[in-house]
Amino acid sequence: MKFELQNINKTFGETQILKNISLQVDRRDIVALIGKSGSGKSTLLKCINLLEIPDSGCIILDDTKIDFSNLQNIKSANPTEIRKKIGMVFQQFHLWPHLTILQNLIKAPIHVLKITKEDAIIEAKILLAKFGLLDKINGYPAELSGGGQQRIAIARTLMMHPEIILFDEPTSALDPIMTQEVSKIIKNLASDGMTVIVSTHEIHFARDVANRAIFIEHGEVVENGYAHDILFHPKTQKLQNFLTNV
Amino acid sequence: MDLNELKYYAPLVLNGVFITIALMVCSLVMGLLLSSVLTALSFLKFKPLNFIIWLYTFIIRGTPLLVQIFLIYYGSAQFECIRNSFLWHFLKSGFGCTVIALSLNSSGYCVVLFRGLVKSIPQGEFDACLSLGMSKIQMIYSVILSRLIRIAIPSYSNEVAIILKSTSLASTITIMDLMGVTKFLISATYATLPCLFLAGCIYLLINFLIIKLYSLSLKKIYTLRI
Repeated sequence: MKFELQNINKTFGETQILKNISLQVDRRDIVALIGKSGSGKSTLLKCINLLEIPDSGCIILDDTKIDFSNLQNIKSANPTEIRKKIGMVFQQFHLWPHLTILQNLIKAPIHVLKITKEDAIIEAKILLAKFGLLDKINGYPAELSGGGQQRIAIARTLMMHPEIILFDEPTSALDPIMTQEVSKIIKNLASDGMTVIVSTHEIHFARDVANRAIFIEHGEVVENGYAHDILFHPKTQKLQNFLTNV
Repeated sequence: MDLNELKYYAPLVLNGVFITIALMVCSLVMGLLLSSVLTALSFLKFKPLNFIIWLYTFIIRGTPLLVQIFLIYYGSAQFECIRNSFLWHFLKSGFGCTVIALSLNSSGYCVVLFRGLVKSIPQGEFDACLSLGMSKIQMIYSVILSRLIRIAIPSYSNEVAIILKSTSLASTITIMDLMGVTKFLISATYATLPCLFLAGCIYLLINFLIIKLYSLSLKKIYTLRI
């Protein structure tokens, strides 16, 4: 697996949210995107998932390369091909509230991957059992706790067998024990061969899960490297300030 | 008006009730189809089309239904091209005109209602569909449509009640619906108050049955687990 971002730029109106972001990710990496809120972490994740279209730059995933500089429209980028390989777990989970847990899991595989309903149900049950939520299979998202909803959101993404899975602030709504749960899940995903990119402003969590870290401030990459180097021995003053203040 | 007289007129009243319900059902079905199409079109983000839809809702909501019915009933016959087109099959009868007027009227209101409901669905739920690789069409029929139906049903009950009562305007263009029959009974028996009272009660009864049907279907939808 090869995944690369080259010089991604994104502006909303007058403000430039992302400035020349480049990064390269290897298989089984767990990359922590750290930075204050408003630094552009979430926008970067949305750009990777093509929910936002960068103004310029390239995304390379395996043999697919999308160059945003000479892109006529989003359709010519064929976003569904990229999105099938890159899953995203949103900060607010965004489960569909009117569908049962089971339906939440099987809709996309049935319609996008065209697998049969029976196969999808079997797969969903295996995932739910793994996350300890099999008894909730016919319940609705609102009946679950925040942590439960998050695991359903993760399961929904895993149903698509993505190569890369993006987490947007996964710990923001969780207590410390649930945070440990999530780190465990993320580490398991990586050992199963998936690549994880996770945005967070919680340094303890980042230190716990990540092997790579990228510090972003005002839409710019300030430091990029191994998590241990960056999170324990910051080189720049900006990162030192960030680590001591959080 | 004694009881025997009432027996004599009962089939006429029943027929009126039947026409009222037929008008309502036809208008609701056509209005729903039309407003669904217009709502879908309005989300294409094509500016001229959005302007046309806005103008349409502006005119429909800004003019009285009675004027619309008269315009369609008396107006359409004035044009040679309409009389020669297939539309004339509907427009030559008062029933067809009323159904067209009511469904146009209903769609004018419903487009606004449906657009608001679609916009009330959090953007994140659309993003979730897209991020899982769904195309926009897959997103609409596999997730969003069922979501929309659930939130639309309670507010749509207003529309049903309003359409039912609006069908009474059909009596102004010769239709013998419940209101038309009532008018006839009044002129035949001179019992204005009892006849109007009876008509009011029947409208109320139909509405009551609709509300019952509604709450039943709501229960069904919320407990259905497909």
